Amino acid sequence: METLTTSTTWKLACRVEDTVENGGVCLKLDNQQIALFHFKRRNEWYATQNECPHKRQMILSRGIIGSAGDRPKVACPFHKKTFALDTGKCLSGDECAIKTYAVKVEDGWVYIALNN
Amino acid sequence: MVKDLIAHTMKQQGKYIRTTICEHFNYSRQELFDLVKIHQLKSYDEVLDTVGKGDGCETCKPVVASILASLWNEMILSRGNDVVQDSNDRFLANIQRGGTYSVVPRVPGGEIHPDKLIILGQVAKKYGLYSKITGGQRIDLFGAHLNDLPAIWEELIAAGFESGHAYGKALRTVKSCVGSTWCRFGLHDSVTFAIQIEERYRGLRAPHKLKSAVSGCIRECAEAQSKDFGIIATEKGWNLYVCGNGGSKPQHAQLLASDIDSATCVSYIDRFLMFYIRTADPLTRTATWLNKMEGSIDYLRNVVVNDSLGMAQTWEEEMQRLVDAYECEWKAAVKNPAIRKRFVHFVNAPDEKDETVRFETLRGQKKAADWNTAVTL
Repeated sequence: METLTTSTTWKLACRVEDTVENGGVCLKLDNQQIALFHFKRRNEWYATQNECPHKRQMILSRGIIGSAGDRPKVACPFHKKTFALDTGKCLSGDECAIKTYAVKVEDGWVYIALNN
Repeated sequence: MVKDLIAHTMKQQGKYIRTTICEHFNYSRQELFDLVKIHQLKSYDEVLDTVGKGDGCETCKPVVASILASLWNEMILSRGNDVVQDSNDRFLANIQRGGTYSVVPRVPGGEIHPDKLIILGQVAKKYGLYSKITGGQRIDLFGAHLNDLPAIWEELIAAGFESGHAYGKALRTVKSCVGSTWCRFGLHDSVTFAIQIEERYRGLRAPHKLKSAVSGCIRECAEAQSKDFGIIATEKGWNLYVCGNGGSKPQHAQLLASDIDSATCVSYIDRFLMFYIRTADPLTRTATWLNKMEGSIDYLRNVVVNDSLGMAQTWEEEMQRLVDAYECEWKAAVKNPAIRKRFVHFVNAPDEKDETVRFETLRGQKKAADWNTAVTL
């Protein structure tokens, strides 16, 4: 049987030291605004769209991150709508989810896969 | 409201209620305050590691940030505490529609020299900002890109301004009426006292915002009776009123002490503010705090004026330490390259602004584009 493999295109985002520990930064990649979160406490990295779907504002990277039970989340600074960082699901009960992207860190550089 | 009903019913059944912070801290704010003080903890991570569990959230981070500020009064973006600050404190500015920010320099007592007014106008024009007079008797400049904030503040600081803390759960303003310097009815110099009070408590952080005013006579043009603490001149001295609030459920302040001199007034305010900071629940204004206090204003008067808890000297010393530790956080931010470099929209294109920000024109000034019709790339 043939196995079909798709290759991930990793886009170079920034250096680790350009990011904020336990917080987010915003990147311009391929004309999109991407929010990158370094959840240092959990040794995890997350990337999502920067636009909060609630009022369509480019702002999620400036939100406070945390956990709800065991799942990582970010709260939008405007109205505190929360989104799961791993799945993008809205945890505040609204029907809008955010796009998430894979992140890898290699030799002090951060890469994001935009072709999810 | 439902929470209050349940709490009231349980209390009537003799149950003891503790309002804990969130899933990450099994303590009330008052307990957490004591723990942070006892353990001498200075950063959110230390607090979470020492007395909390899990990874924190948007509820407990600002509460801990507030406690740290009230205890140590260190620059709020230092020690990694920048990422635990609430939406506005995060960048020392009030976030507005579209993702730009507003700039509010302190104008103590609402008094401003014409030279300084001119500088505010020049800065507003240079950076294309919308300007408006606030209810707090000062000037607000809107539409500043995140990237421009350090440059704007550098100019304001050079001109002798400092942060107005409009973005914090902190002391906002001490309003004044013009008082005895000019007014035919003024009994005392309300402007001088208002400036003195505002400069004493500037930057003080608390469970919620603090607003004050000083009126020079009974006509009360500064509206001191709607303030967290308000001062009204009498023939013999000052009347001190506390726990007034505006907002969605306005409530007038109640008389705490009458015909006191300025020094006594300041002592009572020191004690009152430290008692509020130590014991109120998160995001509770002084009116709600008093409404929930057993014994109400009589109890509060006993504690503050009669020193029934024996804490007066301690509280006054604590307040003096906070006053002595004060430094304008914008001054500190502007001087610190590590903090300044965070004021960018794109971390991989730091000179570029957010190109999705749109403005419209109204009455000769700009306004944020209606966010119900915002366009994204």
